[in-house]
Parts: sequence; C-alpha cells; structure tokens
Amino acid sequence: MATNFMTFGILLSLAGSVLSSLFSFISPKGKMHRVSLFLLALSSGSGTIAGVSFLLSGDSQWIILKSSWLFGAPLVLQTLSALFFVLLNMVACLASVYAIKYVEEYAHMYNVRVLDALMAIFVFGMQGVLLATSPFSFLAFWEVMSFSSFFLVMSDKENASIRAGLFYLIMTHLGAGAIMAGFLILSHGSLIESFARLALLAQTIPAPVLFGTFLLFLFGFGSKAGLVPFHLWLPEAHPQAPSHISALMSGVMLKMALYGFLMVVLSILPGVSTAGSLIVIVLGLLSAFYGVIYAVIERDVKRVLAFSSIENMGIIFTMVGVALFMQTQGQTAFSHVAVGAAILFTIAHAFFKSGLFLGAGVMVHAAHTRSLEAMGGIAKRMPTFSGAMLILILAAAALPPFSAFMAEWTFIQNLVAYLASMSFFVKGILTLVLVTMALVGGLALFAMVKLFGIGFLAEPRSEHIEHAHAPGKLLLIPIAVLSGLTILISLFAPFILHMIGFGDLAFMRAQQSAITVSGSSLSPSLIYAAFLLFVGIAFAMRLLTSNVKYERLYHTWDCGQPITSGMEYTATAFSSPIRFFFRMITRTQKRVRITPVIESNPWIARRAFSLELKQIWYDWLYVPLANAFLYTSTFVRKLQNGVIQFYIALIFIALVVTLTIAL
Amino acid sequence: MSFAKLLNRLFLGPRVTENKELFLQKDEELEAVGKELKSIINSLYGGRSLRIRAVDGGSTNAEEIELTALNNAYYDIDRFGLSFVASPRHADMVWVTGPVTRNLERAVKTTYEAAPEPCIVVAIGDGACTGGIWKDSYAVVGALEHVIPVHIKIPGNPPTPTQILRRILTALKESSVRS
Repeated sequence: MATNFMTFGILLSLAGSVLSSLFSFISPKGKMHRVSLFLLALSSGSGTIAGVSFLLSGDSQWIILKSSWLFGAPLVLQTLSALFFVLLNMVACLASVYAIKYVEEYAHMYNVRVLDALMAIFVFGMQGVLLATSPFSFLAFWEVMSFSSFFLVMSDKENASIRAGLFYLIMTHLGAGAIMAGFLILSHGSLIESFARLALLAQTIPAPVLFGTFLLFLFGFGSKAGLVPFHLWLPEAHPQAPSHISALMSGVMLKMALYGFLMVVLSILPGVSTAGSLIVIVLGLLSAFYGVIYAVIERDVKRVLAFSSIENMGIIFTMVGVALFMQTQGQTAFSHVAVGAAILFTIAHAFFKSGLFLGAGVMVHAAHTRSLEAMGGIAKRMPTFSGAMLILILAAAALPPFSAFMAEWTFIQNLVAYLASMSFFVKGILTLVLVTMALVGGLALFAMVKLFGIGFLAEPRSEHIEHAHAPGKLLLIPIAVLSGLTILISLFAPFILHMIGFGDLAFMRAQQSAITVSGSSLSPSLIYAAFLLFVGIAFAMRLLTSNVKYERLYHTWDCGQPITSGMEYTATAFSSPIRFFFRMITRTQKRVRITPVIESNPWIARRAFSLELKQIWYDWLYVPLANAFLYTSTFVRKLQNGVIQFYIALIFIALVVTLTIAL
Repeated sequence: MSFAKLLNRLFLGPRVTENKELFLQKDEELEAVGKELKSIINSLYGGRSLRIRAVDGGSTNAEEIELTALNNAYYDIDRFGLSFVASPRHADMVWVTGPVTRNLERAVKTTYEAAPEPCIVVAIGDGACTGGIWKDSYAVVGALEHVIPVHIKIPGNPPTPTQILRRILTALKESSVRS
C-alpha cells in the first residue's frame, strides 16, 4: 500500500512537471509565473519524498508505469537511478523556489512564459532519463533534456548566448548520436529492447566491437559530462544560461551523463577492457587537471564555477575509471569502494555546485556583471548569504568536514592501502592518479580561496555592490538549504556509503557512524564535534582572558590615507603565479598598448593592459577539425549544381548502393 | 704624498670640533627635567616608557627638526623613558605639529581615533596651538583644537627640545597631582 502510494508520488512529480510547463506556456505574458514554478517545486518535492522513501524501503526496484504504450518498456525506479532521482528533484525543487524571485528581477530580459515552460520540461526530461528502461525511451527523454536546455542557454537572446547554445547543441547531438550508435550495436539494431535484454545480447558481441561500443558511450556521455577534450561547450553554455538553469545544468544535468555511463558500464556492458578503463582514467585526470587550472585563472564567476564542474566531473570519472581498472585486475572490493566514493562525490557536487550557481546569480545581480574584478565587499552587505556561500565554497574546496573530502579520503585512503600489494604496472597507474588528485586538490583550494576572497571580502570594487542589498528570502532560502544539505550529507556520509550497497556493490562492512577503509576510519560526527569543541574553547578563552570592557571597534589603521578598493588584490593578480607556472597550457598573452596623448611627445601616453586566455583544445583540435570540414565541403559543394536530373541520379545511386549493402 | 698630507691635516690641522670642556659640560637644565620626567613616567606608567606618535599636520618642518633632535645622541630622550613609535595603536601620546591643513585634517583625525584611550594630545609649535601665521588661511583648518581635543599646548616657533620636555613634565605633574 505504502509502495503504491509512493509510486504515485513519482508519477505525480512527472505529471506535475508537464502540467507546470503547460500552465506556463498557455498563460498570456507569464501571468502564471508563480503558479507554474510553485507547481514545479511541489511536484519535484513529491518526487524527492518518494525517492527517499524508495531508498529507505530497501526494495530493489519499483515499477512506476507498467505497460507504457509510449515507450514500449515500463518506467522503473532502481537503486542507482533513485539516488540520482532524489538529487535531481531536490535541486529542481530549490531551483524553482529560487527562480520565482530571480526571474521576476530579470523579467525585462527573458521571455518569462517560455523560460518557465522550458525549465519544467527540462526537469521532466531528466526525470524521464532516470526512469527509462529501454534505449528508445532513454534517448527520447535524453533529447527532451538536451533540446530544452539548448533553448534555455539562449534565453537572453544575446549573440554570445546564441553562439554558446549552438555550440552546445552540436556537441550534445554528436554525443547523443554516439550513444544511439552504441545502443544500436548492442541491441543488433532495435531500440525498444529493454536494458536487461541488452545486457544479455551484449555478451554475444565480440570483444573488439564491444570496445568500440564502449568508446562510443564514453564519447557520448563524456561530452555531456564535460570531459576534456569534449568540454569546450560547457564553460560557454553554463555561464550564459540564467543562474537557476546553470545550477540545474551543472548540478544535475552533468550527473545524468554520469548516471548513463555508470548504468551502461555497470549493468549493460559485460565488462570493460583494461585499455578502456585506462582511457577513462586518463580522460578523468586530464579533465580534473585542465578544469582546475582554468578555474584558478578565470575571472568570470560563473566560468570559474563551470570549470570547477569540469574538474569535479574529472575526479568522479577518475574514480569510476579506477573502479573499472581494478575490476579488470580482479580487485573487486577496491572497485566497489571507488564506485561508492564516486557516488558520494556526485551527491556532494550536486548540492554544492547548484548552491554556488544560485549564489552566483545573486552576486551577478548585485554587481551587474559576471566579472570577479567588480565584486568584493559582499560579505559586509549580505552576511547571511555570504555565510551560506562560505560553507558551499569550503565544500567545493574539498576541505575536511565536508562530504567531497570524505569521498576523496575514502578513495585515496583505499588507494594507498592497496598500492603496496600491486604489480609494477598497476602501481604506476595508481601513483599517477594519486599524484594528480593531490595536485588538483591543492589547486581547487586555490580557486575557491580566490572565489571567496576576491568575491566576498574586502571593500566593494564597484558602485553597484556599494549600494547592494541583501537578497530576499525567496532567493536566500534555497541557497541556505543547499548549504545545510551539504553539511547534512557530510554528517551522513558513512550512512550514504552504507546505503549504496546496491546488488553486488555491497561493500561497507563498517558501522554507520564512521567510514572505515582498509584499517583506518573517519567519523564525520567526531570531526564536527571536535570542530565545535575547538571553536567553543576559542570563544571561551577570549571571553575569559581579554578585557572586553576596554575594547572599542575601529576601522583598520590606514596611515591617514583612506583605504580604497584600488589597493586590493585582484583576481588576475591572485592567480598570476599559477598562470605563470602553467603558461605552457594556458597560453596567456599579455598586451600593453601605449598610445601617446600628443603625437610629438612619446613620454605622456595612455597605457592599456589586456590579458588574453587561450584554450589549447580549441586552437589545436577544434579549429583544425572545422577547417578540415570546410575544406572537404568545398568539394562536396560541387555536387549541388542546380541540375535536377543530377539530383535524381544521385538519389538513384544512393538507393542502389544502400540496397546492395542491405541485401 | 697625499697620505702625509692627510696625516698632517689630521694631527696638525685646525680644530673643527667643539672644544673639550664645552663638549663635556652637561646640559644641566635638560638633565634635571629628564630626571624628573623619568621618575614621574615611571610612577604614572608603572615602569614602562611613554610612547609618542608624532603627526605632521602641515608644519614648516621646523618643529620636526626639533622632534628629530629629541632622538639624537645629545638629547636621547629614550633614556628618560620616552620613545617615538611607528603606529598610533602603540601610542600614549599624539604630538601634532603645524596648522592642520585641509589635506592632512583626515590624517590627524584618524590618528587620534586610532590611538588607544586614554591618549594625551600635544599641540607643538605656534601653528598647532593657534594657527600661527597661517591662521584664517583658506588652506588650513586652523588650530589643532578645531580638529581634535588638545590637552597640552607648547607654543614657540619652533619650541626647543628642552622647552618641549619641560612643558610635558609640568603637564604630567599637574595631572598626577590632580589624580
């Protein structure tokens, strides 16, 4: 009975998303804005509750829609998909609450009616992806997700957005094409087989073809997840979308790609070869490394977050890659821990990254620009907001009490424990992973310190921030809730790791109060207790020892000269050492332009400094590819000569060739 | 040749220093004031020295030269328990010179605000006491009193180091008697 009820809750969340979209779409001029977003929040809230109750029920699957006339296969919630389903609905619920006020602030910029409708459809598409059990329904929902997000990226109708949107569309469809091709190869040409049957069919496929299929899936899901070198659309598209959409795209849509990859790799493909898993590791490490360097040197707050997403997805894929690699080496226990760590990191990332993007929306609204160089001083003007953001930023820097750290700790601790007993080859790979993750962790901390230090602290660098007010409750509450969730999941990290014991992935032999990996253990509640204790002691010491009576608040001693924002550290200067150190990769170009005020006197001149960041992948991979396409297309164009008889002849030849191959 | 010349100059040349008696003579007045200052500072400040932050409020630098003299080997006020510090955060006294010019008004004010309470403010020289010859000029605020509360005034253009010390001494004496 309870199960039926909760199944109904999930159906309700699907129907609610569609209904919200319809509501918004048919109402004139966005009059139903609040109603439709409220409906979306309610429906995704019910989805959250239903998903959580599924996870707690311990069932292995719930059939949501049994005889689906539309997709040929039932919609089913399973443990892995339920986890992502909860993430998606939670973030969607908070993002729609946030959107109520946020969209109203920008009502002059966006078409509110279409924006709300597309957002609801976007959420619906992602919900569907998680429930699908056949390639056809999976791809159908995948396309709903991709197309709606494509339009959402372009919703402010600026040239940069349209460019980013088109780039995104091309990349995402190349990816979707690769996924479809992968499914077609696995199922011998039929898209309506269920995934379970696909897994059986996959066992009959020869290994080289299987490897090719794996590469197709890796490209398909990797391009959606923003893995280097298929990542270029991500830092363009995510910042251009409205902030609540960026939060959904970065916090949840990237996870859909991870979900797809995990599902295909863990439950459909009969096993991944060593070479395949090594490719995943290399792509993961490359993304983590490349993403974090740009996260450090970028100055646009949303681009920093987008690159940080690339880095985090890189770490997650590295963990998954190591899991696959160890599977091929026969170390199943290790592999399970790595998958668990990857999923814990995913959960953490979904919360803190969507929270950060929502917060970035508030920051951008206050500063009227996305550049960090115009921010600063937010902490004094919006203390509550800044506190919530500080928690999210610390979580993003993977610092100890937070769950991203727990995930990395679990992974690295396990890795170090296994390292000694491995063969030389495996040792080499694992050491590479270890060293790169350490480097990336340090740089991620640098990027996050920059984000908070430059963005929030010190004096405001622009007029707009000077007159900024604290965000309203509707904007603040989702961010605060997300930072609360970040703390909560780190407290419950051992419990979550315990719960991810789906099927053969049951691995946590420990109690639920601490994460225990190969001998050493980590208890989040103890860490929090110690932290609170130390803070308490510090405060008590201060109260007891200092003469509070004689204290007087006064601003910083400024040597008689007023302290201005011109004296502050800038984001560019802060990241300068990293930019210098990695100049092989970043290819920064500094340009100083000197123009004399008067022609005859070269000494009195205006000096303008500009700094240009380059993307080596763009220059070395994408531009040559595009040029090659354009070059070949000049030959192909000769076919288009306007003679209709020639076209008919071409069609005839194509028909003959196709028939010869097919028969 | 030049070495012999040098030796000649060193030992047989004209005297350029003060004569020895004059040099060894003690400045009785200074020593007396200093001794009294030392004991009163010792009793008022519990054994530590009295810390001074000097602020130039737009003076002609005449007062500054006298203040610098306080630190030289002749006066050497450190031995009386007075010392100049680099930040108002460490100061017990703020010494201000010059008529407070509009450009330095903020500096004087913030220095006073940044110094810990209780802080003795001393106006040194005619400029700081009354505005001096710049009084009523558009470029100056005028006497230091118009900017921050003043406790001790030391007139003179500029006052000599001994005068400064003597005035500080009498003020400290008065305050210790009152308290």
